[in-house]
Amino acid sequence: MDFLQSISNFFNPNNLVAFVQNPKALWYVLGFVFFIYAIVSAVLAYHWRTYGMGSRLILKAEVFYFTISISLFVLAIIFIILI
Amino acid sequence: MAEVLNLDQGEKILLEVRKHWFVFLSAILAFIGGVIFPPLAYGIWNSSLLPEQLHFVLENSALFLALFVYTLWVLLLWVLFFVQWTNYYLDVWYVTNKRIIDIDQKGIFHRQISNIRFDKIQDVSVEVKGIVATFFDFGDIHVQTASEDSKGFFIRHAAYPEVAKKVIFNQHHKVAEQHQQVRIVKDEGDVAQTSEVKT
Repeated sequence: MDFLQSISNFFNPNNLVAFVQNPKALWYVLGFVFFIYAIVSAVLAYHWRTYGMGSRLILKAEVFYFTISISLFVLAIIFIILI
Repeated sequence: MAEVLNLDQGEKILLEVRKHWFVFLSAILAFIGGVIFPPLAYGIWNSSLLPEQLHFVLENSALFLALFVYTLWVLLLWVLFFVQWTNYYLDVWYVTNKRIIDIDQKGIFHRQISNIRFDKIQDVSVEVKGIVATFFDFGDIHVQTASEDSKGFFIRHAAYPEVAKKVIFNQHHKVAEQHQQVRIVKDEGDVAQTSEVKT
């Protein structure tokens, strides 16, 4: 049973809380993710506008992509604040 | 719009040929699976399927930390999904009234554009293999050219291949039947006359 307990402890995120007592670390993580996201999104937006041939579907996809991704960033910020 | 394709004056796009959405289904399922997996794994982990010693309940800070990580995970999947979709959607044939333009989107930074004029086309073949392809109406289209040094155009799993073939053939015939000016020399008195004939 000790073995099972150690497995449980390993996967239990409750034990990770100690690592993020300082939420500043999470802000850095979020900042890094946003940096990568901004680069990839810029590349995607460039492709959509340059090669999309003015397609309505591309326009809808662009709106959908940015709406959902920005919402996810907002959620991530809310979760950091709540930690 | 025409700048990217370098369309000639008066050249119009008649048809866009893309891969069928069914080809993209694996990416959609991978995305859905990736989103569902963490909460599903958490549910299974804490279910009666596993010994009670393994169970844990996320609470307070740990819950929000887990949700934060999960949000970033979904964001990563979301971006990857759209990279895949862009590669899928921008891989296209444009059939114009003068030629076929093949845009081969091999990757986000790998793009190849080639074109073939209708007068160079020798044959267009369509292959629909299997029940799924027949049911959803997709297949491979191969445009062969008269030139020996050219391999022609090939698109795998194109949507509505018969429609594409019909449009290409119609346009091919139109180009072939265009009026051409030729000189006809009559026997009587060697009088040269120019007239319009169909070839």
